[in-house]
Amino acid sequence: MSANRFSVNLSNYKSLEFILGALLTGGICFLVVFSDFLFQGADKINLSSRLLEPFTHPDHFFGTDPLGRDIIARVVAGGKVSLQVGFLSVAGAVVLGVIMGLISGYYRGFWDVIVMRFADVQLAMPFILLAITFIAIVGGGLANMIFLLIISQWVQYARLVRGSVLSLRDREFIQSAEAIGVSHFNILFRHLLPNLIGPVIVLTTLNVANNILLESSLTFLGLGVDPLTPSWGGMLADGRTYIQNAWWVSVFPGLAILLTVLGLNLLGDWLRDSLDPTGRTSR
Amino acid sequence: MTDISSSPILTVENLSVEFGHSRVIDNLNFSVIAGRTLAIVGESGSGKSVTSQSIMRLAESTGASYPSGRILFSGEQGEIDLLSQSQEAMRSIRGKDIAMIFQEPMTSLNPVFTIGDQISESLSLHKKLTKSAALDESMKLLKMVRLPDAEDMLNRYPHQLSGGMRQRVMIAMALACRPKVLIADEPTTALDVTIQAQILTILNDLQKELNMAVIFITHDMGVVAEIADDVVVMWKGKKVEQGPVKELFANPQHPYTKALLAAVPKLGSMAGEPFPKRFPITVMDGEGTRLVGEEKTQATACYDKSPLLSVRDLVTRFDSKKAFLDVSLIEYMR
Repeated sequence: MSANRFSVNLSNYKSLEFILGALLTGGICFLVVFSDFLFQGADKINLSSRLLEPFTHPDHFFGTDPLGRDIIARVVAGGKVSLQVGFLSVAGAVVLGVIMGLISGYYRGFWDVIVMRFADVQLAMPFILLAITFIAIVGGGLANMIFLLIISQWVQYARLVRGSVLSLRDREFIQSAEAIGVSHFNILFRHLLPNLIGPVIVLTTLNVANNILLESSLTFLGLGVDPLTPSWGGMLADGRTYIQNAWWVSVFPGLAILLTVLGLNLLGDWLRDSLDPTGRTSR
Repeated sequence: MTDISSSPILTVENLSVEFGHSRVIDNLNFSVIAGRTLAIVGESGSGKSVTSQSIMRLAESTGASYPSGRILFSGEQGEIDLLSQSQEAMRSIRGKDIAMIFQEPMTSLNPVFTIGDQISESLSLHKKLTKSAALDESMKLLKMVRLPDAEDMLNRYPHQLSGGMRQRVMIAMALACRPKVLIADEPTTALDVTIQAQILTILNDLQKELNMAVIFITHDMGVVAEIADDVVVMWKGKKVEQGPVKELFANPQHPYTKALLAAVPKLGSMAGEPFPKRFPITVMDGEGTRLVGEEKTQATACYDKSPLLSVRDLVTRFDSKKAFLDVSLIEYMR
């Protein structure tokens, strides 16, 4: 019995998706967390070494930007803001959205109407307009930006989850859980949630990338973090003006976003497959 | 009748159920005695399932209301009226004192949990067993419903089991806390006949073992004859006839009961007929019955022409590499 479980689990972790995803995500997180020890002087401006080409100077192996700052040091340091925005905003939106979706889909009635009409209003509002209004009232900064992203994105999860709950709540296994006396709370979180988590995971991994880029557009508009603080989206935006003669300024932060998102997507896919016992999605 | 405890364990008195303004059950009365089986029969929409869901108080979530009636249950705290209990109090009765088996074994199990998890849930909920104790008890239950290699079964997922196996798991789940009343809502309708017979035998044996009262909801008169002690015939939300099974079968009073019994084909009645036959159906017309259609022989097949569809030498193969690897891995681990 236990041997059976073990063998299943072992082969579960041997998949390429998990190994690659964990390596990419783990590696990038490691670099970002220990950026202060690994690369110093991300903000050191040196105008005598502007726009150095990559792979030519041992001091600046990945080149320098228009102000002579080391690209790789800035990419690694910039990950702090970007990953914080990406992860925290998505985590907050998922938690809020899933809970709202579960409750409004399961209990229906009054709260369902309130929550979903509120969601409709929210979806009808353009993001940038909401962002400008919000930031104008409460001010910019990292925490406020994350808060803004949560407010504007929980609706997506709520709608997704509510839709699944509506189709699942009348299924017989939910009824039979009720018939053995399971409480509403346990039905919501132990019986319904595992059944609808697949699409939520997919949306989550996609939104991390989206939010990293949204951070840059907010910063570009002057609504985000201090423009001197390095962030992937911000560096990408800065490099646009130099793209024709200094490709490396925007390519390396872009690669960082790409690898993070790829890693997360692989991990998400793996998680979804291993949570789905029928293995429908694994082939 | 051999049992001495002949006072009913569950009594339904003047029960009426309404959905909005339409009344689906009207003044229903019946009672069940421990160790005996009461069959509720009737066509689709006659209120059988609503009755069972009302006893469990599950019908309210779909909008039912009870203008009149009582459902008396004699449990540990003496006689209580289930209709006046709060949902909170009902939750501790459901699964523990009154359990239910659903019609569709294919969809009644949660697809993301193992069989062991699902059976032990009710045990840890009502008996406050630890995880491993609950799993041990689940294994005993699986053996009780005669599932082969119960140990392996605990780690399986519902999609890996056949319909008959799943229904047995459902029975094991329902019996986990040794309920006093078991409501079986058409438990054999979705199964084929041989599995049906097995499930009925298992239910019968377990009923004797645990001295349960069973409310068996069905529309199959053959099943009724096999399993029931008493029968309640329902039609359009009303009880039209009630009685011990033998009397009811030998001497049906109400025209609807007669119509139900007439709809059961008799083995051997077609002996000597070369072709299948179409019979008129008996339908209710007001308080009486009426025949619809006419008797005619179905002899339209032309056996001398070439067939419309024929299958020759068909072979279908599936890639079974994964299963092979899994098996070898499991063997290796042992």
